[in-house]
Amino acid sequence: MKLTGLDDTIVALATALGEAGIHIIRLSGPQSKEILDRCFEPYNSLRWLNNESHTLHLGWFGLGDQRLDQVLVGRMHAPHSYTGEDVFEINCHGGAWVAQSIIESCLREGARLAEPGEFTKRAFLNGKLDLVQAEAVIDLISARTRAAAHQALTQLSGRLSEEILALRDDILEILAFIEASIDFPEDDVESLDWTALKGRLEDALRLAGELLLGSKSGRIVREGLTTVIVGRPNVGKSSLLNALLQEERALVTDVPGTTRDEIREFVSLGGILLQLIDTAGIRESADPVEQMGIRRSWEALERADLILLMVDAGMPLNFDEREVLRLYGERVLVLLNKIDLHPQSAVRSTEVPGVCIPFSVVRHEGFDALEAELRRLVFNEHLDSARPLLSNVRQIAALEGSAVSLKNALSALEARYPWDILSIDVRRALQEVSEITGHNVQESLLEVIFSRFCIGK
Amino acid sequence: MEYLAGKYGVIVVGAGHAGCEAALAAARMGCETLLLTLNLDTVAHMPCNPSVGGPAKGHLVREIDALGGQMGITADETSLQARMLNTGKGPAVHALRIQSDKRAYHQNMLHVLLNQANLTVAQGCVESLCVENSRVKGVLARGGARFESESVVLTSGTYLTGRIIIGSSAFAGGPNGQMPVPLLSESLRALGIELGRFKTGTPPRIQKNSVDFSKFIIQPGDDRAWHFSFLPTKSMFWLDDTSKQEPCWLGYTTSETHEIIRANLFRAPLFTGEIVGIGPRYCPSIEDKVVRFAQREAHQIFLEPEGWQSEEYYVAGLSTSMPEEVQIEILRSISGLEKVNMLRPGYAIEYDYVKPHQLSLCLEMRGLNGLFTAGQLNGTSGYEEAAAQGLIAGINAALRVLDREPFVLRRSDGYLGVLVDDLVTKGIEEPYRLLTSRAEHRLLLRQDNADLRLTARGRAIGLVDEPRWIRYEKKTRDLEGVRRLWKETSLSPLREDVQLALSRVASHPLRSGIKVEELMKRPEISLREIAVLFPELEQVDSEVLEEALIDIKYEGYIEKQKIEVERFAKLEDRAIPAQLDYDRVRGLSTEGRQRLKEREPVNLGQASRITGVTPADISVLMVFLEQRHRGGGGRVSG
Ligand SMILES: Cc1cc2nc3c(=O)[nH]c(=O)nc-3n(C[C@H](O)[C@H](O)[C@H](O)COP(=O)(O)OP(=O)(O)OC[C@H]3O[C@@H](n4cnc5c(N)ncnc54)[C@H](O)[C@@H]3O)c2cc1C
Ligand SMILES: Nc1nc2c(ncn2[C@@H]2O[C@H](COP(=O)(O)OP(=O)(O)O)[C@@H](O)[C@H]2O)c(=O)[nH]1
Ligand SMILES: [Mg+2]
Repeated sequence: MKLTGLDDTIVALATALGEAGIHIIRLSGPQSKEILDRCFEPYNSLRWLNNESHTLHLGWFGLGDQRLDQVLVGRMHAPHSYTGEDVFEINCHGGAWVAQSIIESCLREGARLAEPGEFTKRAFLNGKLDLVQAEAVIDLISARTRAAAHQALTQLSGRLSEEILALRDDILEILAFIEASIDFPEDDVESLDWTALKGRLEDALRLAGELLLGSKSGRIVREGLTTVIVGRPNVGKSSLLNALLQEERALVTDVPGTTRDEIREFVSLGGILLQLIDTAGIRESADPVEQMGIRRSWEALERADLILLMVDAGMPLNFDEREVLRLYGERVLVLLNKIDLHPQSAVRSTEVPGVCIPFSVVRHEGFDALEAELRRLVFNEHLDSARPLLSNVRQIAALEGSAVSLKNALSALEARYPWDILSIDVRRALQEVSEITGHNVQESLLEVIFSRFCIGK
Repeated sequence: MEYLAGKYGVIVVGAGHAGCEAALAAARMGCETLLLTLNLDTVAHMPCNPSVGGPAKGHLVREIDALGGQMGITADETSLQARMLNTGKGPAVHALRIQSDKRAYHQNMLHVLLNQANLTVAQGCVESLCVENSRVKGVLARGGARFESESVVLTSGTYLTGRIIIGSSAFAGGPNGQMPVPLLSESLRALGIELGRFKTGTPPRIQKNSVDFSKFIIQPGDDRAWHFSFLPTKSMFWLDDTSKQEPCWLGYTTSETHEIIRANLFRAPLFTGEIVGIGPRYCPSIEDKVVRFAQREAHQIFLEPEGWQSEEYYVAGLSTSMPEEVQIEILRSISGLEKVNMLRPGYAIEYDYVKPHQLSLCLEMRGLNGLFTAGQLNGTSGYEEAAAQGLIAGINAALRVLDREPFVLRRSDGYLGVLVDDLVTKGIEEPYRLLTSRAEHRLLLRQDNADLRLTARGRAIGLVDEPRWIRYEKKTRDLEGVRRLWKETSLSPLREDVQLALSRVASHPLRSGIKVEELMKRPEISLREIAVLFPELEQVDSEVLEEALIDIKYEGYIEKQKIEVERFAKLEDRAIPAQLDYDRVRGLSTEGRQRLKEREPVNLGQASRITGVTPADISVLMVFLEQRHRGGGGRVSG
């Protein structure tokens, strides 16, 4: 069982996931100020440095090129806060992806994900809630725990659980080798030499890395598929976005290049949540503001789960479009727009490796096909067949923790630390994945040692 | 006819490794103590390996010694050879193992017992406990003698309803040809104590002059004279002349051995259903190994002398309960043992044990005040595990008599704490052996610092005498001095002796001044390079230098573990009141509630380690306790 500290710093999303608008991330505990000092850049740093409780601060979350989003941070110092500890609330408007990234940064800086009902529990333990409320706190803890347990079970099915179990088995075996040689030094047990151990740790780390990559697409189910609409100017991207949103949000004009900023919106299409990002279009431009937008388009493509490449049915594919297809082929759906004007497409189907949907925004044609295609992609896991879904923030945090520990073990190995030291990192890595799989580390370790090695003199 | 035979503060039943430590501790703490045992000739007998220590076990012996126990001293004084194991695997897992002379060990311990103030030793067989109103009042021995006391420590080992199995012959018996104890089990059951049944086994013994040792690989002792005790001790046999140590011998089973075993499996009690008790996975019999690891062509065996220039050797690795004639065949199939004479056959033994989850962390039976149990009776195996529990039980039995606070070590204090907590909190399903991997703060619980961790604790309960205390104080002072010296001294790149020392181990030459401490963090730098630079440290004990070096080299990891210990302590510090009615705690999971009722943990940390208790249960419990603490109601703040 994971021992959770009583006064470590916890973080969690305070608003429900997956909705548009504002997300609030709450941090509580003694380290929360330190954590924010390391990842929040207030516009008015003097005011921030005043350390005054109950103040609001506008600034950037993420320093330098790690900048994530413009956020509003509210600070409430112990004991005058909800939990009675130092509490910081980060309001961001960049959508679920940003909220998640902010949480991940906090975790990296030393916070821990809050257990179900933990903020309220702390509030109660610190005398912030009266006795009458204690019962409600208990209900909250047990209800949320039941919900989380249900979720954890259903999410860990099929191929994903296989891969995580494989990772856990790998780490378990590494640890078993180390521990067997330590606890049974005179038994004739197989052992790993330095190079073999290094190889195994690297393999495990690689597997963890792959799973983490997969986890990005795993958020789809709960937080939406990060979807980028790209295409050259005037092809009809903003029109599509508006049609999907059924409201005039992005500017629709005839002047190329008017969409300069990313716009993020959530729409649900065929039961799948899309986090839409409209971009400035891919195009060479002399206008510096335009250029920034264009650079962002390419960045958005890198992190997108799904790319809707909109091409004009009346024009042959240009270099950029072919580039997108070449680089991100597996994640691209091509929308052949304006077929109302050009029933005879200028784009040959052989030029498009994947799916190509004839489309007309103005006539509202192709939406059904798009929906069907999306469903096929997500539910059949065709989206990225090499990577299963890992969708739970807690699981991702555990996996990340495991990867970090494996890295630490590798550096300890490089620095020629002995096995008793290495075992500390390897065991932590195992503990972290076991959080996901729900295995008891000590019991499974002995199980493997005794079944795999012939112990006993 | 029942008669009152004597009144004591503490009565210890059984003079095995557990009983000896228990009796000595209680007597040394000033309690009038009686040690009753079946046979004075088998006091501190080793029914299995003639050796003490190894990973985790050696750690335990050091801790027992630091607290003023006896095992370390007796093992040192009767040592045939000593080896430090795991030296290449890091300081936390260095582990001392000593081969001891079995008979000398027994005699040494008996001598210590018989010369201990406040301690009476007597032969006798305890058949039942005297209990009144859930309080122990004493014991009743065969023949009618009733002994009264405030505390009783039961350490009857593998004797309870013992049953020996060799091939198809099975009979009631204790280990090593001793009598079994049939009645005590019933007396315990009648008191509502839950018993289980385990089995263990031992290999045959052989005659030295029928062995061709040229076919074996010699396993000598180390060329440094190692000791368990932090007090000055010496082997009565080799003094400190390491070249005089007795060697052990390494050999291998052959494919013929395995064929013999396979051909006779139908007669192996382990596979015929004759044995029902659960055996230890870490001590399988040879038939078990051959079946489970069928692809292996050879298994190691070690020949270990049972004593100094002994005619009898122990065959480690060949534990078996096969019929005697098969055992002889097996032995003779091994190269070098073609003509061997088997002196005693191997056997399996089944016995009753007390399920340890019924105990408190003081090893006292919950709901039966004054009854303590320790050793193999609690389902462990191993001399060291037994001695460790004996010490803890003996201390607490005495503290109860003295009306003082109980003595409980935490998992972060030592392997003693890990052992007791594992037994009591987690419970066991197979014979329990301590392993270093069971300790979560392993890097802090090293065998080299057992005295630093525990001597003061032993002093506080009155077990650490003046000589031991003086040595401890000197060590801590010296250590402080060395640490300060290394922390504060800088080495200049102009010092040729420094650069020379570095070049010898291919370490980067210094370009600028560097603190000694920093330099020592380089992996290639050992004590040797540093020691030559500080002639003033020549007076200081090498153990002190090694200690200081470990602290510097592994500082980062050590600090991290210390932080973990602090975190761990926070839950450990939250007491759960005795007799808490878990039915009144809303929101617990069904399984969690049941386990908590059954185990009655004394703090939240212990509760969190019980299988079936979830983190949410702990949260719920925490809120409940706070609610209770605040009492009836009323707004506090908000
Ligand atoms: C056959 C065998 C094989 C073993 N193999 C291994 C092994 O491979 N590895 C390992 O680690 N450990 C092994 N052990 C275990 C190890 O020997 C024990 O764990 C250890 O000796 C237990 O110590 P103890 O003090 O609890 O009990 P014991 O050493 O058994 O002492 C019990 C004492 O209690 C006395 N006694 C019992 N009943 C009464 C009574 N009613 N009244 C008075 N006195 C009583 C007995 O005379 C004896 O002195 C083995 C033990 C046996 C018997
Ligand atoms: N005929 C036709 N015109 C379209 C279609 N989709 C968009 N347009 C028009 O194309 C122009 C540019 O559209 P816009 O959405 O701003 O393109 P963007 O630059 O890609 O965002 C607008 O005048 C739209 O009305 C379509 O399917 N058919
Ligand atoms: Mg546009």
